[in-house]
Amino acid sequence: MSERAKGLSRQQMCNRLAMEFGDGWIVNLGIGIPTLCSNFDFGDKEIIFHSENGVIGYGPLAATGKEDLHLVNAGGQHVTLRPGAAIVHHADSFALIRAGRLDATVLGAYEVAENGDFANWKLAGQQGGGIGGAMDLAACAKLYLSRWSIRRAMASRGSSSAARSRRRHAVWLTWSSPISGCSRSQGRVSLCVRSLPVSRSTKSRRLPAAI
Amino acid sequence: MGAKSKVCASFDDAVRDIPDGATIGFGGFAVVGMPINLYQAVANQGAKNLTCVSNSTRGGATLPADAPDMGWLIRNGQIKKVICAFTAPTRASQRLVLTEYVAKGLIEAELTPQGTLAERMRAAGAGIPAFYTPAAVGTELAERRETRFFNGREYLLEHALPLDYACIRAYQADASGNLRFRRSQRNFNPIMAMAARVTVVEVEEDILPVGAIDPDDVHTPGIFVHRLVKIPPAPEGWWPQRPGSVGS
Repeated sequence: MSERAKGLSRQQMCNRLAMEFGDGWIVNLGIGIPTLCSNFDFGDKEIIFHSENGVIGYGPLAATGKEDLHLVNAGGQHVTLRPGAAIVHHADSFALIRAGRLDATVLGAYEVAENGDFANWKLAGQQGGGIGGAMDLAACAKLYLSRWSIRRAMASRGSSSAARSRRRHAVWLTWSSPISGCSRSQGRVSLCVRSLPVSRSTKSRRLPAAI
Repeated sequence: MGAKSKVCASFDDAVRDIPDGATIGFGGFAVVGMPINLYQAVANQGAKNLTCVSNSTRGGATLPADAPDMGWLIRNGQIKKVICAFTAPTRASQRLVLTEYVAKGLIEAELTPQGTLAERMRAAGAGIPAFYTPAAVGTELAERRETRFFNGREYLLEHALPLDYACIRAYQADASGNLRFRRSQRNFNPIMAMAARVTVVEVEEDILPVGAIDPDDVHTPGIFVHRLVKIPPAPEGWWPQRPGSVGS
């Protein structure tokens, strides 16, 4: 039986992360699995989801046939707006990111280091890369939540160079030198969810006491 | 209006004077606000040695399968350099035209964090030559580049990115060039308009008489806009397609 079969589904990974969000938080969701967090039922909690393309206050994915072609999240998926939503342009969207207005950001990663750096934008041997907003987000959110999907990434298309040399290690890896496709979070990674059970970072002291 | 009309009869007219070697910004994020018709017009026009700035070089799931994107201009041999936040596919199943041309050494690709890309153009439009940002500090993107500490934190120097032309898409325009965008269509479009010497806009709704947009509701003032073209209905004009009606 494959390890993936025993692990969490994509939505389950996001549900686990979403449980950490506090009432009133402004949370950025990155492209890929993280965008599924906005589908979680938060009950009485009010979460303001931010997307890098300038959408503040979006909700679940739009139902099939009800998509607004002018409205997408970071992954290009058609989403719905929540009451009180607002739209800004890209420079203002990243202004609020860099100014530390986000309470948390959820990003996909191939691999996460113990110190909070993570490999997320380039695979070994690849030309170019896909940084998107990750470097701005990693450097500036108060709290960074990651999903760890190296197993899925390796199965589908090889691995990042860092991952390849450390693929046998457990979820928390330690290295101090720059790796290929690295984004520096400067110790902001606080919680890492992979398709197997949740691990907390050594930086979990950054989590608010309520969690 | 007294001034020369900004309304152009065709997309081809609107981009006719783009010279070889120009720097052009193409707005849009995941097809929303993407100037599909102006990509087509620039491809038709044929200017070469272009530097093209965009979030990425491909459209997305709602772009009609045969619609133009930056990949067309690359395949056409018109581009010498791209400046993007994505220069590689975001999925293993995707292939970028760019990858092949970069591998052959035909195109230079500058990879930039998305917020830095936006701010470089914002700075250009705001008369600011350079700025410091925390994004990319400590990564390979910052190697051999100037950094500086402020209040104990390290920041990377980034330079403004002025554009010769901005090709953007808006929801509404009046004949004086005042623009409104709808939902996440805004993205890079207003910033590129301010960063550019000449801004060309493809407009989704009929172009309104001057004054029809309340001044308080204008997203991009007409002083930043030079040419407007109304997008004709499909199939003459390019429009995003509903998800499910096209392959991703």
